[in-house]
Amino acid sequence: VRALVEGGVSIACIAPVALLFVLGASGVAGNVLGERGTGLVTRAALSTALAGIVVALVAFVLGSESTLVLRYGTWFSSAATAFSFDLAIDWMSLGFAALGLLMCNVVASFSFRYLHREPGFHRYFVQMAMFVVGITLIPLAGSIEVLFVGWELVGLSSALLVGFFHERVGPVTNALRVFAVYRLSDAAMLSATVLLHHWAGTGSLAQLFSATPSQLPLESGQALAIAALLIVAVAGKSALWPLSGWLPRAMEGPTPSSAVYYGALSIHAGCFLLLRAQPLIEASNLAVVLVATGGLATAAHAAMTGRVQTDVKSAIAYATLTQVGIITVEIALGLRTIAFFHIVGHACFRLLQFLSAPNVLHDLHELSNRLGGHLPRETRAPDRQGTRIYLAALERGFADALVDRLFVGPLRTVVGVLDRFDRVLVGNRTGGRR
Amino acid sequence: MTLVGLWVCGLLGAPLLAAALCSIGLEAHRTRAGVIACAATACILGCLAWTVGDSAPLVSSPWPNSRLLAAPLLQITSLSRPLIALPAALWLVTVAVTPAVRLDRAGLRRTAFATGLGTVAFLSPSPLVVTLCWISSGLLLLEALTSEEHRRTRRMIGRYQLLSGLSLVGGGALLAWGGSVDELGLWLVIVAVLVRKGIFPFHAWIPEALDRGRIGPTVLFCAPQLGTYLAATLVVPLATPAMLRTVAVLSLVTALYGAALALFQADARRALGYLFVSQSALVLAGLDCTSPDALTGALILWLSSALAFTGLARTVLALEARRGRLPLTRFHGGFSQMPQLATSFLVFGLACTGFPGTLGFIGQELLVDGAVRSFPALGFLTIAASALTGLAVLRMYFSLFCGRPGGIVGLGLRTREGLVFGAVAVLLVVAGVAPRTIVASREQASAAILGQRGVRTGSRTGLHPSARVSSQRRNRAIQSPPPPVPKATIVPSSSTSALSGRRKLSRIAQRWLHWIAPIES
Repeated sequence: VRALVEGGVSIACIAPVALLFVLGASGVAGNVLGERGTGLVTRAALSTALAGIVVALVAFVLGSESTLVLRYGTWFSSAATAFSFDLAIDWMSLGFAALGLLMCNVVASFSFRYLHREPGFHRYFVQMAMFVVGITLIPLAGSIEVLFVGWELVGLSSALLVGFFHERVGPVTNALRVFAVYRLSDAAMLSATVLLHHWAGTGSLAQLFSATPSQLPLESGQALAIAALLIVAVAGKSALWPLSGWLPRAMEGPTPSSAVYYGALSIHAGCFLLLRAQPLIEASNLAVVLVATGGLATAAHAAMTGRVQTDVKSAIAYATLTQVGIITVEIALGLRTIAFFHIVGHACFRLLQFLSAPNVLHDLHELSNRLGGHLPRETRAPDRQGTRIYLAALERGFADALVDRLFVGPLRTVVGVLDRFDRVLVGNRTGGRR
Repeated sequence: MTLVGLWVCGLLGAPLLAAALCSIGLEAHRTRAGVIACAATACILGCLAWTVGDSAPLVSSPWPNSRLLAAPLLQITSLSRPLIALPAALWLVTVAVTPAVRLDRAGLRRTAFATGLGTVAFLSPSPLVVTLCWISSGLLLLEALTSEEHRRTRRMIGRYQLLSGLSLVGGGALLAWGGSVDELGLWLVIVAVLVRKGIFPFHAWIPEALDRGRIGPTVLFCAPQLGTYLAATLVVPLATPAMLRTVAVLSLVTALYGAALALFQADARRALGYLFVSQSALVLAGLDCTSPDALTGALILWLSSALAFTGLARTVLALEARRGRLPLTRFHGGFSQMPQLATSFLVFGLACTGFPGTLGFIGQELLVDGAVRSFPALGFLTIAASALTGLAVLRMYFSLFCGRPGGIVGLGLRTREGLVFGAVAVLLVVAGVAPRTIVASREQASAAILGQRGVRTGSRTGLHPSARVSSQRRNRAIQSPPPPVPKATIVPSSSTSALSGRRKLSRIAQRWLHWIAPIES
């Protein structure tokens, strides 16, 4: 059983990496594969990976072991630190990885037709391959370094896909904004990694996440600090309030990528990490309260904001976020199994919703054309209090404006002053182009 | 002559041959082809250094009894082994990629001399040779800025290089003199390193030199980071913990400062300058943490940032050759016209950021880990700097390559440009995916540096060398937190009442530093 699991998981990890290298090399060589070749290679790699993970999942379920740690050796090591390439296998991690690879297969098949003859066809699949590598590593990671690698790959590919239609300014500007939040999330994750090494003396997730809170090699304050950093990392990746401002901006990307990132996988990756890190979070009551509050606030904010969205993708994205908030609350309450199946069911449903949205719109337009006008719908003028809520919802809770005013604006001012200071230092008094 | 001696002759002869080729009046394209061949030869010979172990002195010092100048004039050490190929690699990238109109015979000759000086410096453990190379390379940079257009920049760079050169010569003289002026001498050497590497408050000249000067010569001058070499061979082994702590704190602050300013720059060249300042500061911060991990990480980051920064600067130059000056206040477009250039830029930028899959990631992971161990609070600045650097790189990428395309004319890379950028990118990625060899080599070098530090500081405190533990154990001992501020090594043993005003001030400064960076190295 162990050999089957190990073989399956290895194939599931290697196939996307090989795909990334092949597509990347093809791109550098001037897209020698073409649309047909790209499609063939992608289909072959993704279906191989899916077959591998399914074999591993079946073998694991039929076997009797609760958790397996697969050690692939040390990636690199120095005097006091060794960075090992470990994978931690249990039913939950295999389940999420299988779900991810299944969805990537579905979305890839959909994308071949959706992006047919699109100038960025090949680029899309390179970035998609980067995402598949990341989203496979996140659930299977057995050490926090492997998790961090997956986390970064998902973040970069997400930002690049948001800016996929790079000839328009809007997607590019929004991609930068998305990446800014992801960098905050990455910084929090890296800080957590370093603190884990520093305090626990290990980066093994299997050791940390499968222990009970009392068995953790951390004091309560240390556990709280690491949990808080993980919550910030998760908030960035899963768009929890107040870091949810990037979500509607991310809808600028192609619909298939929006489906797999913000409807299905990427947005749930944070929740999955919280699920895995539950022992760490339960070690501190304050961390539990933080998670629950974040989830509740997100659900309320998204439910309110989603109701006033005027485009279908943003409306679905906020509906997704409402459920993500609820899943977060479930995790805070310790309902692990319910939260996991909530993630799986919700991801499947939203993927379908995102992918069918363009067809629904098309049908709606067709219907309007035949009727000779818009379909009738009920509208109701809000009362005075309702108007305020409506305005707040339209402005997405003023979260972006608040972040701009509190952080970006002051930072820009300080940097402007420092830049002028630098120019004065070197006798450049004609600069200051800002 | 031994095989190693022949190899060194070939390595140093290649730049000299190239310089001679530039002087004999061949046709321009033949001269260039000859120089590229010399650069490739030097690069291959430099890479062969991996196969050579720590050698016996190639050229011994004529002053074997001198305190400072006893080191051999030329010797391959564990620190210098991969560095020897670095100037040649940067030279090859420069001469292969720079358009012919921007690199005349004099320019080609300057690149050859700069490479020769860099190679000699990295081959030499002797502070005297490094000082000579230091000053000569500064003069070479100034010589590249003789046109009227660059007069002000030349004067500005000249002032900084004068400060750096005088500090180094003065510091070296005081160190050679020995006795009570030792500490002052070392402080002067530190100032020289800070100026050369662009560490706050001596950082402003680098963005300005890139902005208003010439990118090519400035990159060849800055990217090999001779300041880091001097810090590794002279400062780290000799400096007191207070000195190292001061430099590390300044470097950490500069890393964040550079990254923040790079993010909001309105011009690609200045942004590039601040990115370099941030990277350079991270490397120095790692060196001064003196934990084995941070030191190994810094040595890896040194190689990675030199290659990645040169690649980044060259892509900006290639883009300028096609587009002219590049403000970051608008989107220039053109990804579809030059996808390979855009991809190269992104890969180099991500390597600077420390993105997984590049060599920068390995260096930064080790450096961050070691920095946080040494400075539990300030160490996190490296993470913030890395996050801001990533954002700055992506902003530059979007601004330079995204937006409405300027036309339909193909602006793609020429074959030679494509090959060189591709080779550097592949090198950064391959070394990032399979880093064990390079990590092992840099770990060995860091152990040697810390070993030297142990020997020299041990002799200062009167310990007998035989009483010392092995290098590995010593490193761990250095890393583990001993009681704060070993006053016996920093403050001369005298009663508090007898302390002069300067010493009181020094003690206050040390307490302040200890407060913000509490773990003693």
